[in-house]
Amino acid sequence: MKAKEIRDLIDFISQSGLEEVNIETEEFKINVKRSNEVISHVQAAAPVQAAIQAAVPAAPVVTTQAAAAPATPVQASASEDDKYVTIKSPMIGTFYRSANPESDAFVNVGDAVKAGQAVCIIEAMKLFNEIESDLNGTIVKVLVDNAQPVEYDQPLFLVDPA
Amino acid sequence: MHKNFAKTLFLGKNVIYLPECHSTNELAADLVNKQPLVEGTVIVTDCQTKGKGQRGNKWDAQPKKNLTCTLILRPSFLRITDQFYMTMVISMALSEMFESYLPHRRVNIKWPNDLYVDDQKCAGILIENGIKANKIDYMLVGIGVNINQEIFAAPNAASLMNFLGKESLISEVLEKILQRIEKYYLFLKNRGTNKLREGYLEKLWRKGEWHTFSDADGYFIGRVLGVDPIGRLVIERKEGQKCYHIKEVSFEK
Repeated sequence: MKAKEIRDLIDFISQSGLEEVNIETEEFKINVKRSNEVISHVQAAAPVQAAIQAAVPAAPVVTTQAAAAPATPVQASASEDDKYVTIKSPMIGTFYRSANPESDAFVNVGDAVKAGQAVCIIEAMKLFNEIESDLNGTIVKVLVDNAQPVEYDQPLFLVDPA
Repeated sequence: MHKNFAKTLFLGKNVIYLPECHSTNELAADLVNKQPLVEGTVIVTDCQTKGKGQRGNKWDAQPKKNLTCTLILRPSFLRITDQFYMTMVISMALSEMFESYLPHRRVNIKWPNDLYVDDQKCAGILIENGIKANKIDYMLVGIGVNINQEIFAAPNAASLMNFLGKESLISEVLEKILQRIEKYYLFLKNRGTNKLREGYLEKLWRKGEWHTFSDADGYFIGRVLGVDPIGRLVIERKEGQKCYHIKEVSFEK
């Protein structure tokens, strides 16, 4: 688990109002407890601990136990997803990232989008619907592959709002 | 050429005519994003240099022989999920136009939106919507009708000329279409969805006849029963009914 991910996780927990969170996988075990009295102690490599303390000065208690298994990348933490906004499909249909098969995608990861800008096409029964973003921001993730079927309300894009 | 169409209330009151343009749908999309266009504006051209069909397909029409146009509508009363009714409006209008010229021919709508006269394709529709805040902001209705062209590359394409044996006025065809689209559009606006649906089903190509189809599992015998509320094709098979999306099923011989 990377230092940034731990940091993000702590941020998320500190904003959530939860008192204590324990996460355990094959690779690691992490325990975060909200308290001002206890000094944090982490059972992990020193650099990680340093990073955590640097990031959260008035920190919740953090306990990490590195497991024996080799570390694999951990999925994006909940805190990141939380601050992002999703653009959802307004209808059932087929998702297309470009206006035509030969043209470029409307948007790619890292692109800035403006409210009113077209982000994709949803086709249903040969009716082609150009979907506009309703917010300004940056595309963080494209959640559906090109030409895949989508359901009503299915998240299509993750946007970091500006 | 076309300036105004007297017999309609709002469709075709504003006509943008171009001797040549890349694609009337593309041009309409550019225009609606730049200026407020009156609902019912029609863009017509004698020659499309990059005519658009369904997703990357081309619409080929000889210059000055055919109708290629795009109507700009703003059906704000229509829910996104009900948009298939607009396919019904346009295809019904086209089928009535063909019937007015060819009363003794068989005019059908091949699901979802091709127009067939005696099993030959004579017109196509390309509807493109702009969706803003989960509502239809604008609807671009591209219509291509084969009128005076005699020879086609596609084996099952034909024109009015092929059936009539003489030329027709393109502006007259357009006027007939606009009148009928307006009629059905206002019908839809006044919640005449059931009647519209009945009319569409009545015209549906191969409805009720047993034919060969193919889907992901191979060939099968079935017959078209109709369409479901979102426009999927309902086919009766030995083992029961099945609803199909576009591309999930093909008509075979």
